[in-house]
This record gives sequence, C-alpha cells and structure tokens, in this order.
Amino acid sequence: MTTLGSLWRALTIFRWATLAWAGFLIVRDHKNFQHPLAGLVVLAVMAAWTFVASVGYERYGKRVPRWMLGADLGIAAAVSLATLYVVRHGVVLGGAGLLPSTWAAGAVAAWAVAWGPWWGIAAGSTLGVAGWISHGGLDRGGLEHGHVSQQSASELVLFLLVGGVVGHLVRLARRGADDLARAVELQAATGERERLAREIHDSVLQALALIHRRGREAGGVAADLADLAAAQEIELRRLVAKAPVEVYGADVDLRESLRRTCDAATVSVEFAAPAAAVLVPARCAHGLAAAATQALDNVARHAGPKARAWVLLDDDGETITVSIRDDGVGCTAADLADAAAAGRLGVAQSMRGRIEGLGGTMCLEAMPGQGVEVEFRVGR
Amino acid sequence: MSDAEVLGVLVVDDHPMWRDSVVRDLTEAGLRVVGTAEDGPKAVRVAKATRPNVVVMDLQLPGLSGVETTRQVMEALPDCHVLVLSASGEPLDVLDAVKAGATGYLIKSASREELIDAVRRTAAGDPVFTAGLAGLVLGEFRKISTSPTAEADTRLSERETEILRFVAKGLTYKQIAERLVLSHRTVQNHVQNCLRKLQLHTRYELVRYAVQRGLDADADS
Repeated sequence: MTTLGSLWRALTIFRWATLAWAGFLIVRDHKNFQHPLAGLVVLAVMAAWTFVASVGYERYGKRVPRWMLGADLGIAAAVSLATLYVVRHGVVLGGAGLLPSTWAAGAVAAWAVAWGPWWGIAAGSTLGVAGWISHGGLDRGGLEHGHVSQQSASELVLFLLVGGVVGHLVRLARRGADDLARAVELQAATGERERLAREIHDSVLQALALIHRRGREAGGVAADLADLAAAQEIELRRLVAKAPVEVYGADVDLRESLRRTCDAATVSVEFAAPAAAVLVPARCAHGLAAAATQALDNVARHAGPKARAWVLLDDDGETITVSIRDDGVGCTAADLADAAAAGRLGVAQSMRGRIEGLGGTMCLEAMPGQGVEVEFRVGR
Repeated sequence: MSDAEVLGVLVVDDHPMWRDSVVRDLTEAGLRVVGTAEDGPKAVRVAKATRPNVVVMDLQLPGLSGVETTRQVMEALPDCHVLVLSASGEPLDVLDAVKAGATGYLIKSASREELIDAVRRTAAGDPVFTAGLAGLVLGEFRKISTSPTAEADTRLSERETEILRFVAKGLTYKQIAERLVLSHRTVQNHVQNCLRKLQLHTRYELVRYAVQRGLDADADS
C-alpha cells in the first residue's frame, strides 16, 4: 500500500471509531433532546457520510475531488450546528459536548492529508467557529458562560492541532516516499545500465577489439581504421563504466579520483589499484588526484613521445602510497640540480606543497634512460 | 622439441568470430589447438578429454562463468595453465580467476605477437601479468595482512611485496631483476609464489567458510 493509501485507511478507522463513540452518546442521551428523532437522523447522516468517505477517499487516493473535501467539512460543520436545533435545552456528553463530538476531526485530518498543514488549519478554524456558535447558542441550564467559551476554545485548539500536525507529518511522509521512489528509480536505472554494459561488452567491444587488432596487422588504410576502432573502444568503455557514486560530506573512493585523473591524461596510463574502495577524506583525495595530474602532465611534457606511464595506488592500512612512474627518457641528478638552480622545479615544488599540505611526503627518483618515478605517501 | 609437439591449447570463447581469430593466430604460429569451446561446461569436458597445456579463457561465458570454469579445469587438471584473455572492463573477474588458479592475464586488444608470447610463457609456468592485475593482487595481500585469521603461510615476504609492487608499477621481470640484482628466474619464482599464496589463501577461506556453514547447519538442526 502507498503512503497516502495507508493514511486514508488510518483516517477511515478513525472515522468509524469516533462515529461509534458519538453514536453511543447520542443514543444514550437522545431522550433528553428537544428533538430526539432529529438526533437519530443526524446520527444516520453521520453514518452515511462515514461510509461514503471510507470508500471515496481510498478510491480517489491522490486525486480526491474538491467537492468531496468540501462536503466533508460542510457536513461536519452542519452536524455541529445541528446541535443548536436538536439539543437546545438538553445536555449531552456530560453537559458540554456537541453532537459530532470527536467525529468532526476526521474532516480536518482529511483536509490536512489532501492539501497540507495550512488547509488543515483552515478546516480546523472553520469547525472551531461552528463549535463556538453551537456552544454559545445552547442553553445549558445553569452552566456559566465562561465555562462554555473555555470549552469552545479548547476544541478550537485541538482542531487546529489536528490540522497543522497531521498536515505537517503527511508532508514529511510524502517527501520520504518521493525520495524512496527516486532511489528505487535510480537503482533500476543503474541495473539497466549494468545490463547494457554487459551486452555492449559481449558484442560491440569484442568486435571493435578484433577490428583494432586485425586492422593494425593489415597496415595501411586498415591501420587507420584500426586506430579509429581502438579510440571508439576506449570511448565506449568509459561510457559504460560505472558512474561514480558521490556521497555528500562523506569519505570518497580515492580509486575513482585517480582513475578519472588517468583517463584525462594525454599519455597512455595503466592504473593499478586494489579491488576494494580506498576511502579517504575528500580533501585528501582531491589533493592526491591534483598532484597525480601534475605528475602525469610532467610525463607528457618531458618524458618523450613514446613514454608510457603507470599509476599505482597502494594502501597498507597505515599509509596510502601513490606512485607515478614513466618509462621515458628520464634525467640525471645533475639535470635536476640544474633545473633547481634555474628555478625550473616549480611543478615538483607545487606537488610537494600539495602533499605536505596533507601531512604527507613526496619523493622523486630519476635515472637517465629509465624514466622518472614520483611517489606520494600520506598517512591514514 | 618444437611447440607443435608439446603445446596443446584449448580456446574458450563464446564469440565465434573472436574464437576463430585466436585459433588461426595460434595455428599460424605453430601451436597445436586441441579444441575449442563456446561455454563453460563444454570447456571442462573438452579439457578433460584433450588435456591441453594451456587454456585460453574468456571470462564472459554462458552456462558457467569463466571463473568457475577455471576452478573446475584446475581441479581436474592441476598441471594445466589457464591464460585469461579478456576485455579490460572486468578487473574483479580477472582477480577471481587468478584466485581460482589462472596464472596469466592478457587484454583482448593485445597484438598477435603478445598473445602467442603469453601462451608460450603461461605454458612454461611463467606468470603473465599486467600492472593492473598486480595492483589487485597486492590489494588482496594488504587485506590478508590485516586479517587476524590469515594463516602465516599466506602472507607475503617483504621481498615478494617489493617485487609485486614493481610489477604493479609496470616494470618487466628483467627490469626488476636488474634493479634488485637478482636473476630473472628468481623474480619469476617470487611472482609465482605470490599467486600460489593467493590461491592457497582462497582455498583456506573456502574451507573456513564451509566449516562455519557446516557448524551453523549443525546448530540449526
């Protein structure tokens, strides 16, 4: 059952329970009424409307027509006012009640459920005013005027409370239900995406990989086609890869941050990481990813056209290590010293600054002909 | 002895075009393709019947997953070597296949030369790794080393960890041997040990899991 459906069901139960109570009081006291028969007719009207409302609200669910809510409140107010004619000089509910007693609150709750707290409060005020008129017009044979207005005031407060509180809670419940529906939708979309990814994986990617391989072997124009197929294969793979799930304010998966860094690099990068998420504070992930981006930019700029790069993420439980290695031309210690002397180590210093800002350390290793390796180490 | 006499290869892939292409490449290179299979159960049957030296295994198979097929083939033929030939979009499946006994992994976009080289090396018992796979295996050992239930013989030595890290950073066995002043063979042995320990750990885990389930079942009855 939907949230709204169960709310209407709860309201129906409330209506029948309060009808039983009102009926009990009317039947018990009707002999003292000025118009006993009219009292029973009013009770019949209440019962009939309770039946209509029980069926109607649950059937209309989300789209309860205005006339129904209007009639609900109208009948509740009318029954309240009918007390003036029916009872007049008699006494009900231990001397101070009106004919519908708590049954009238059903209409207020209905307005609150259907249209929210402000309309609930409006309906509550209407019934409060009707009750005030009825109380005021009754001859209670000796009861003081002050007692009567106190009675109507407390009824008004209760009606307002019902309208406001029920309306507010319903709004919260609906918002919760909407969130849940969105989550379910998202889950379905993710499932569909994964299914598509599997299918594309099984068919299109395989074919592209084959074209890539055969084409490259054939050479000439076919090699160009092969490169095109390879590019499309990478593009498609990225497309069907899982979308990153960001959790606000929580730790982020460093693997995802670094994978995006590697995807964006202009050199060919192989990324190695554990199978399980490496969760770190967002600040740490951003810092490491930014430093890795700088390191890969450096590879693209200085390591030569054929250089490839490897990024390794290793987490031994105490320290997170990110290594960026390339197989490019490398450099000698003398080169580094020259660069430092000429003030050309800006990038290295900027990386070091980022990592030290995270409380970590950076080391750089370079050998001529063996590429460069940069390692960031940050404590957990 | 040439490869043709020694190396029998079984090719398992559900994609006919791909399967034919691999078979042709292997045959042209002088290897003996003893059979092909397009699904897991058939792969296990053909493997038992033909006893290949190397199974070239796709992981996305109908009927039985490539990981489970690997496990069953390795159970039936412990001397056989499984080379996973798979698209790069499924690293976790590759890790599971390695835990199940595969000792080689090559991505499908690799060239024909790389494929043939990988088959030969796998047949020789040489672990064929990518840096990405080494990163996954390293991650598993990091998990094992912090687990209180892990057996001592499934933890990596410092040297093994060091070498695995080098592999994960893309260094070849030759480059690692040079850096550490070791022989090529020693480096290979260390990497083989890493895989063996991972498979051992997986078996311990399965037994532990089975015992636990068994005890729970006893308690329930």
